[in-house]
Amino acid sequence: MNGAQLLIRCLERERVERVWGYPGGAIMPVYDALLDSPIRHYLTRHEQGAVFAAQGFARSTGAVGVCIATSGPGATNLITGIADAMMDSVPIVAITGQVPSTLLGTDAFQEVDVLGITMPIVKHSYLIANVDDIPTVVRDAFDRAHHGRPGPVVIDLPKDVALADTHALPIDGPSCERRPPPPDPKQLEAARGLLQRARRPVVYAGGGVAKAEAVEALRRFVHTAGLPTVHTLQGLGAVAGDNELFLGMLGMHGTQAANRAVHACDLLIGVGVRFDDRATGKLSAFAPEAAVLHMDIDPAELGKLRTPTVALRGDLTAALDALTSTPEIDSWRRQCLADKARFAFRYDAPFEAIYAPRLLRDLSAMADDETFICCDVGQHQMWVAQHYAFRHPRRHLTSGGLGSMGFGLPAAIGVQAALPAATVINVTGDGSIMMNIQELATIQRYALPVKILLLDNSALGMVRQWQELFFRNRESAVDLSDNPDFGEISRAFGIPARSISRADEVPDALHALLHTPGPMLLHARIDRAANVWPLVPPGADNTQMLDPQRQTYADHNRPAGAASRATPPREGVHP
Amino acid sequence: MSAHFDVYLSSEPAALQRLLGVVRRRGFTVTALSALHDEQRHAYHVDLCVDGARCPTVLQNHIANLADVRTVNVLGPLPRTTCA
Ligand SMILES: Cc1ncc(C[n+]2csc(CCOP(=O)(O)OP(=O)(O)O)c2C)c(N)n1
Ligand SMILES: [Mg+2]
Repeated sequence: MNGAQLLIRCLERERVERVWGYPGGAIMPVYDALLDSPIRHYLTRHEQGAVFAAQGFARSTGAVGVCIATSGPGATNLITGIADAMMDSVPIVAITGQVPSTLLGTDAFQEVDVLGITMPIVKHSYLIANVDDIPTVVRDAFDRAHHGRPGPVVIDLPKDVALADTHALPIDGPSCERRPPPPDPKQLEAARGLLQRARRPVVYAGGGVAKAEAVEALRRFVHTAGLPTVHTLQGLGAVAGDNELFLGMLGMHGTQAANRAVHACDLLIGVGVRFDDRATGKLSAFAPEAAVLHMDIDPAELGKLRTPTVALRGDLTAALDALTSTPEIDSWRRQCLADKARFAFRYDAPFEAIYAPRLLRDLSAMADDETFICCDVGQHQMWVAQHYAFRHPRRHLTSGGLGSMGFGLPAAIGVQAALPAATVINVTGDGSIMMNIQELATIQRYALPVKILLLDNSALGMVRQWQELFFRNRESAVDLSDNPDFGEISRAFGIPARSISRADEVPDALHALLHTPGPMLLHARIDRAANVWPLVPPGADNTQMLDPQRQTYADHNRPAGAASRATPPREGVHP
Repeated sequence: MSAHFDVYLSSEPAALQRLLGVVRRRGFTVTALSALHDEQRHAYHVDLCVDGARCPTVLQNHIANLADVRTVNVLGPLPRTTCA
């Protein structure tokens, strides 16, 4: 057996059934070994497609996703996806071919320092020097990707190591599951006291909840104490989108009800969150009157941006289940729910044109609870977060921390490959889809029934919105009015397509999207001028929301009054 | 805010680079550094002084998260600080 064959045996031992990748010189021994393995390899058409597909698999299932690339450009094409996995704590193992050990450091053909380049964006990385180390490295890599706070791990494999003979064997038996440490009893007692004394508590729950398999525990906790709850982008669905106690997403494009509740609360219960700036707005004005109870598995998050009054590190389920206090908060709860009703989104757009929020609300109502939504990045992503009622966070795949355009289509491929019977929808924009449009070939090749909903505003809409609001409407490099014919592109890849531009076409088109067997592209033309509301301007606190719909709802597609109320342009603001 | 750390790292090839990378990325500068290879323990013993505007306890937690780090202790009194 050679090193590459041993590597593949080790992947089989980790129960890997599928990998996504792209071959090349330095990784050829691994591709040769794959031929003799039951592991299914999916050829994407760009390495970025491979790493996002591995992420799609990992985000939807919780298992470790695997992608493979060759040295040099193959490895550098993975970088965005690896960084994305780091930011959103997604467990993946990326395997890269490397030039032979003797050529390392000589600027050899297709040599790049993968270990060095990826160092700040991985949980850990290995450059394998000795073929006999492969079993321990692979076991360790999977362990690290999966356990604790999940994240990406890179294994760089020089070609001579891949070709070297070995008698080493994969490590026997599966990796043992380790529970995170239970919360400290003293801190738990302190947390109970905080909760008991609170008169205006709010739960602020994020992506860590699903990663810790603590969705049910969170729901019990929220339900038992009747706690108003807000979610981060990654947390959406932890408490179901249609739960009465759910006030919406907080932060920059959050709901008024969520941001007002957080601002007024006297106890902020952070569960699997990291106080990200898109969620907090101006940090010094975030939940200014609140004591903070922060629960997370990663000690480096506790106190990173906000000093907690009490911190509970470790097992979220154990912590949540131990917090059984039921504070007396009836009037506070009524206040939160009144805000929720008062500031509820409206969908009664009187126009002939397609109103994207309404379309997404309809999709949410028509699709079953098991549907997976894989977003791209931009206005359409925020509309999904605002208007689609998720029932579980693993059904909502979105690039939050890095905000990588091009994420959605390959992520959908990763989900669909693992769950062939599931309904998987990529909601994308006319800018984002072009970033990994080549993956339509992957959908076609593997007969994946991925649905694509393209919200086409002929613009890099989110950037255009910011230019309108914060750069005196000086449009720079955001116009996409010369987009290609997306239907024709889709059909060229063998994927049927339908195009709509009127609101009255939406119900039938959504029905077709959901019920036509096989893949399909639904191309929906929407108003170029539509903006995402509400919006907290950069640097402002979360109560300073721009929400022109409140003042001039009938003209909802126009940001009437918004420009004059927006803060002046600042350096360093970025969508 | 300055801080003084005593760190034991497994002597993996990139261990020192990882340590210094975290210090820089998390907003600190190195003011003094010595690293000795301890062959018996297959480890680097690092004496590290840093300076920065952020909370050193948070840096300590980030360092502790590195896979190569066996122990990271604070030498001398760590200034009591609100980290936010
Ligand atoms: C790879 C990448 N490049 C640039 C950006 C900056 N950016 C954020 S949103 C956006 C526009 C996205 O356009 P589109 O996909 O059409 O979505 P829309 O906002 O129009 O709904 C851009 C360019 C990004 N997030 N990712
Ligand atoms: Mg667009």
